[in-house]
Amino acid sequence: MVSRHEVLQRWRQGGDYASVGRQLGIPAGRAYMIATGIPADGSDSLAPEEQDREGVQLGGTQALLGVPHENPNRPEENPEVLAWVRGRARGDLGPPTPPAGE
Amino acid sequence: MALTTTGQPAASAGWEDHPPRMGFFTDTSICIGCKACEVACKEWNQVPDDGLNFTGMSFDNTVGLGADTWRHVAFIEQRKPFGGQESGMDHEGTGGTDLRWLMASDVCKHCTDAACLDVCPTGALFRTEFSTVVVQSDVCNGCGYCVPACPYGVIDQRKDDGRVWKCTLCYDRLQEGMEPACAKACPTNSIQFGPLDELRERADRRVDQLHGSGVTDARLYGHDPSDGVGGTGAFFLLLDEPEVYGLPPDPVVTTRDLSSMYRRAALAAAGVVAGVVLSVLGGR
Repeated sequence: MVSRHEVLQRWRQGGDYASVGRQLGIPAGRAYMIATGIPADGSDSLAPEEQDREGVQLGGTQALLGVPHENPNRPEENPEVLAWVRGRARGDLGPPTPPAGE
Repeated sequence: MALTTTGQPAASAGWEDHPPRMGFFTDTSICIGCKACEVACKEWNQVPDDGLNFTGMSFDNTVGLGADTWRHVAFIEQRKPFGGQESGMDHEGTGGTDLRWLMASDVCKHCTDAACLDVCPTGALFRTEFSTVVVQSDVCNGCGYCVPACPYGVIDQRKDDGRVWKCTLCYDRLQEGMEPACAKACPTNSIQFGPLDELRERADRRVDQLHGSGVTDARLYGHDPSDGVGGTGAFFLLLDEPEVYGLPPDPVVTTRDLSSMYRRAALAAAGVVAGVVLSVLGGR
């Protein structure tokens, strides 16, 4: 098992959480949560006392979880999604076209 | 299994150098009854539906915790005014607004002294390194001993397979450093997740704040390590008596008296044996 003391000790030696996690054999996100008591996926804003806590990494920690956090609608990454959104928006602009034959 | 009173059940369960004890603080004073926690729990843990029933109990159609409801939002309607809430209800004909809703998201308490753990014969229930209590569904044999052992009536058997199910405090998410799904989904932060000692301090400050604002009924439930279950890993800020929310007022770990019962049973058995021996010897 890994204690808070153990994670913080390695973090103080200059390691980031990814390397601390590798050294201890645990995911980086868990290392962060054990060290700080704050979940690495935390979407909550940190209270002032949490911001000053040792080991806290300001500016987002979601990357520690290894889940994608980029905007999936960036055109260079996903043109199909963007084209679909444009189509929906275009469809909302005017009245629906009556089906052919009516 | 020995009962623990240290407040760090993971150490008593054999975890060395364990991480801090993690838990929930549910502040019901800011719960809006949205049930996002129920939905998030079901989605993440793939909990099946609990029947699509209309109970007529306010907005509560799941009634209580069960094998298929690991988070339950209680709706309690009371004839009491609550702050500046203008409900438009006037039961007494005096022009008052005497209705308030109490909403509270209930969950497994992850007790310090967990009777479900004590009675489990297969080890399906175990204490994690975060001091939470988790059922391993692939080990559970469906004996059901834990069901009456829980002083809160939380743990429950699924009718179709007989095994027991309950909140795991999202053990799989904790492994990755993520907060439980219900806490993640809670839009008002009524469900707060974190190290238990920090949550207890935060809860004390919140009660002081509410008392200072005139909400004198505000009280904590399950935070006291000297209560009948050694304090709980999931505790609550309530605005009325625990019974109002369907919570036992003074829960006691149901295995508390086991050791003394075993001692007395052993003494009685020894007395019977001695009596038989004496009567046999005396008859010769």
